[in-house]
Amino acid sequence: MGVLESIKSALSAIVSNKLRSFLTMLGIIIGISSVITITTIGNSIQKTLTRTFNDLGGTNFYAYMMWGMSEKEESEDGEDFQEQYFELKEEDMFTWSMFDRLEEQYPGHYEVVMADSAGKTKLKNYNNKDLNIVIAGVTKGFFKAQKIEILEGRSISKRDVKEQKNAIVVTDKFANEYFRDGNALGKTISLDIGSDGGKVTEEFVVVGVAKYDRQKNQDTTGDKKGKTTAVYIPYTTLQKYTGMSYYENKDTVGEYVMINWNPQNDEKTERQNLENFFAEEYADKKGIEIQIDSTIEELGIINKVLNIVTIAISVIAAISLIVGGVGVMNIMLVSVIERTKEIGVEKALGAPNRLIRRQFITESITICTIGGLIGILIGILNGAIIGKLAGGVLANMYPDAMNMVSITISPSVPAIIISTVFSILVGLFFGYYPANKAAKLDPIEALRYE
Amino acid sequence: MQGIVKRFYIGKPNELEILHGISLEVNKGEFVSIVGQSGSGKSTLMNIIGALDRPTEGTYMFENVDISKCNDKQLSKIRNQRIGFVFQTFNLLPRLNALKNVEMPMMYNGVKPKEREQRAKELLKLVGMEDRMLHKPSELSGGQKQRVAIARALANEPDIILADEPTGALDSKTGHMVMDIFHKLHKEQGKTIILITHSRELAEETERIITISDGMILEGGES
Repeated sequence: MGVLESIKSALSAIVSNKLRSFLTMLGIIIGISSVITITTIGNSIQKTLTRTFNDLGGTNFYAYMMWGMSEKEESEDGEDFQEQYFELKEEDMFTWSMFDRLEEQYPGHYEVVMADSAGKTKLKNYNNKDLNIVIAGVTKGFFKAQKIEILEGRSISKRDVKEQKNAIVVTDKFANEYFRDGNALGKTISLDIGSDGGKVTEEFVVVGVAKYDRQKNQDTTGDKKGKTTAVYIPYTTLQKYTGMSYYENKDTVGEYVMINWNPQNDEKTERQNLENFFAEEYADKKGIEIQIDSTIEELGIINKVLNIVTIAISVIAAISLIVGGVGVMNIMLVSVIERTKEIGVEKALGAPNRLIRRQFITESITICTIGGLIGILIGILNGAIIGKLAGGVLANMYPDAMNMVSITISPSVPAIIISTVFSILVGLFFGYYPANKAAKLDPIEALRYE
Repeated sequence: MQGIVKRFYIGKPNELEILHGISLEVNKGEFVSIVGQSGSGKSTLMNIIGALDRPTEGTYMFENVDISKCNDKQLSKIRNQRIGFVFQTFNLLPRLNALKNVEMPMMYNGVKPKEREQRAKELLKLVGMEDRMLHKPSELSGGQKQRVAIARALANEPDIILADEPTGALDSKTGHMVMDIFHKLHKEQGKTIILITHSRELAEETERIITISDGMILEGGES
């Protein structure tokens, strides 16, 4: 009797009592689906974050302001925190001029990478046909970080950003679709731009034409089908029209900035230089501290936390697997007793003990493997649903940030493989005792069993 | 068989000797019956003849091989290849149809699927069950089930067919029909058949009657 026949026989036994088989599998399904759900979510978060970070250049520092009380104020009025609370004023925030100074001090080392988008909108081309576009507000650093190739003209410049100019960079693909003759440089485009509060129509001058790259376009627009094209205007201009910036001074960047450093340089040195720079800039401003984090570091921390959570949940799931396995063993024992006479007949006909044993172990492994596969499917589904839901919630809470993030649902392949192997092992381990009992039955006694 | 003794619970306070030195012989092509009352030890004897159990003492020569000393694995093989069982309660596997039931012994013997199917079909034809070979046991009558069981017993061309009260669960008409099949197998195919029964009437249809009582052969042990 071959292995294939054993499996067929096992399947027929499983199908002959579907409800019981399902209830037997339940423990395995729950255990495995828990592991797969958490590993899918964890893996998806990691992949999404990694992609997002990579979209924006990869080697980035986040610099942001931390403010609190100065020491002097604390000790004076220890109890009255309210009145002494330090308020962050616009004049204390990062400015574009500050980064000009940074460039002067460390030429070529740093780029300010800021990117935001205003969601999809439609443009009518020369033929009155609708083009789907996404207006992305970016800095010069964005082009560098994304390695976008400029074919004609230039990218968005620092000055464009500082002065909130109505400059626009389009891709060659866009130029061909929008303009009759395919030439964009120097021409004007009318954009409806704004937030849900109110849109305005503004004219933008094409200052540069970039090479269209499908992947880079997808990273910015989130559109996998390539039907939406990105167009690039200055970050500050976008903020102006969408009302996202509430700063009086054009020069103000905000409390937070992302700085891309040259990967050819050493991270420690680059960071130290940056820290020194900010220390100098903010030397006379008490109560403000500039915190610099690196995305690599943050990714590392996030990964560590995710790993710990994943392991913790996996341990719990493993326990439920063991409980499931005991359930399987229980049912297999009942099955053996029920089929005592059958086993007796098979032995009388000459079935060797090892065949009887193999039959029951095959059944046990088959049940557990099927349960495991169902658990994996449910786990992936759960992971996908939770991932999409989480993405939706975050998009509502942080629409600007989420525009640049494309949620990647990515099941963890190692987890799937390990889960499958584990299901098989559980079947093997917990099926062995009942299978052995069956194999060792005395045929004469078994035949007498009613 | 020579001096077969069978004891149970050996060494224990309730040690019991069922067979007290049985000697008998059966030759190829004979149709014999073993008759005894309930408690005579005929079931115990049948289990030993059928290689389901080993004697405590004595020798059991089967085709010049002493199988009384065989281990479980060897006995299993002998049962599969050399002995064909027919039980009173048919004992067909309920989840398989008639064809697959007949194939079972061949499966244990490593016969290839196509071959087994072919032979199973032939055997079912021999017992007149070719029309119902895809039916499950629950869809067959008692007589039909027994016929399938006989076909199954013949699967690996055994040396002997061991029939334990084969008509016990059947009405007299069906019982006669089944006995006719045995006679046919004996006369036309030269099969060796050992029939175990408590009915003298049935035993008289066979060539030789071996009577057993209180664990001893009374008569008919020599052929």
